[in-house]
Amino acid sequence: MNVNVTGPKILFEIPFLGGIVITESVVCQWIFMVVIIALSLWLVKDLKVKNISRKQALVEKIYGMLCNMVEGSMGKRGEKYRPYIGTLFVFSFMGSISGVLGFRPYTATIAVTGAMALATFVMIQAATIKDSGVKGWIKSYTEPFAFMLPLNIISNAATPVSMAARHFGNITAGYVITSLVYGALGSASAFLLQWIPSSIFNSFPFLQAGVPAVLSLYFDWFGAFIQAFIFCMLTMVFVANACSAEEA
Amino acid sequence: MNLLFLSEQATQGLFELNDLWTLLFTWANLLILYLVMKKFFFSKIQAVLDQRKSEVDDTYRRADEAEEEANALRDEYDAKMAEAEAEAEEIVSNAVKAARSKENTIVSEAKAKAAAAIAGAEAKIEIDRQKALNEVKEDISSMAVEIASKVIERDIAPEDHERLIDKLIDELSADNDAHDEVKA
Repeated sequence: MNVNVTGPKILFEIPFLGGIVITESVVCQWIFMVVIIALSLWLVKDLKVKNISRKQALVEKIYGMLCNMVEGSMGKRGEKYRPYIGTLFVFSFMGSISGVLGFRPYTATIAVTGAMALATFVMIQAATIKDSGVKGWIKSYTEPFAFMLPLNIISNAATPVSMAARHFGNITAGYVITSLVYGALGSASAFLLQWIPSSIFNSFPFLQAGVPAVLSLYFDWFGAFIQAFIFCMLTMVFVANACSAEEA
Repeated sequence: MNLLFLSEQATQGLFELNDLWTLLFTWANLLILYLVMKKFFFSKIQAVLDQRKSEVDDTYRRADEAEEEANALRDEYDAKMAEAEAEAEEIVSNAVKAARSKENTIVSEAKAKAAAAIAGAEAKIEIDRQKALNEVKEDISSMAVEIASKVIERDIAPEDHERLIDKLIDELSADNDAHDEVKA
């Protein structure tokens, strides 16, 4: 049995601007965007102030957790970042968990986590500019001394790089390991059943049932949750740090 | 070389154009998802929570107001009750005072009347007694004069006799009075 772990496949190309390449990751994102939006619309359908349904109680509970998380790391100013953090979390989590449904997780693509990290980077710079003006923003690169400029640039650039690499690395590693184990289990069951003459029965990969689920619990569910959580946490912490303390 | 983290056909370099498209699409997707979620999910929930909060605040405010009002009413009631009690007490004490003074006047009047009545009665009794005594004295003296004239068959000067007899009666009555007093 061949195990082939690759990057996202190119599904099609739009012949425009020299060919716009649409990869598996992007299509997967579209699918999950539709799923997320549909789920959200269903969840917020007929919200009430009194006599709430179980569904609404759950939605409010989750929303409260999000509020606590954002407020905990950003303070009062976190309120306007709340929808973005929530979206980012769901986007990241769904991307990572999509492996369970047989998709290639789109967060196992450096371009995707890179885009997310760049968005965070832009938010950090925007928060600095908003807080201390363009002058203050430029000045923040020459602090505490002017000769620290290259170091400051590297440290600022390192933030999105490390975030992107961390998220991508974790999910990709999980994806690779589960693929390898899945392939190995298939080979092992084929080896164990080779004494059966019937080709229908001896090719039945019975070991593939059950065992990968345990790995999936860690690499897909736990890993996806933790990586989404870490990514959101880092985004909030970095953006909050960019704002002055007295605003909090 | 098939780089794992780049798209399938990326064969060289760390970052190919293919991946740039993926990056741009991811950005666009994230932005769209953010805007949609913000408008149709987060703001909806927040609106409901805000509405509930304002309703709860309103309820609390109304409850506070009602309590305040109730307290004010109770204070007013208490004050009125105290006032009414004081008034009642005053009325009662006034009535008692009036009654007492009236009683005093009635009693003193009654006493005075009784005293006057007793004095009048005593005076009348004294007058009657005197009158009776005088009548008796006159009767006796006239009887004595008659008897004496019958005895001596002649008229003596009645004035002289009467005087004599009166003197005698007075002496007798004085004896009688003394006798009465001893008896009493």
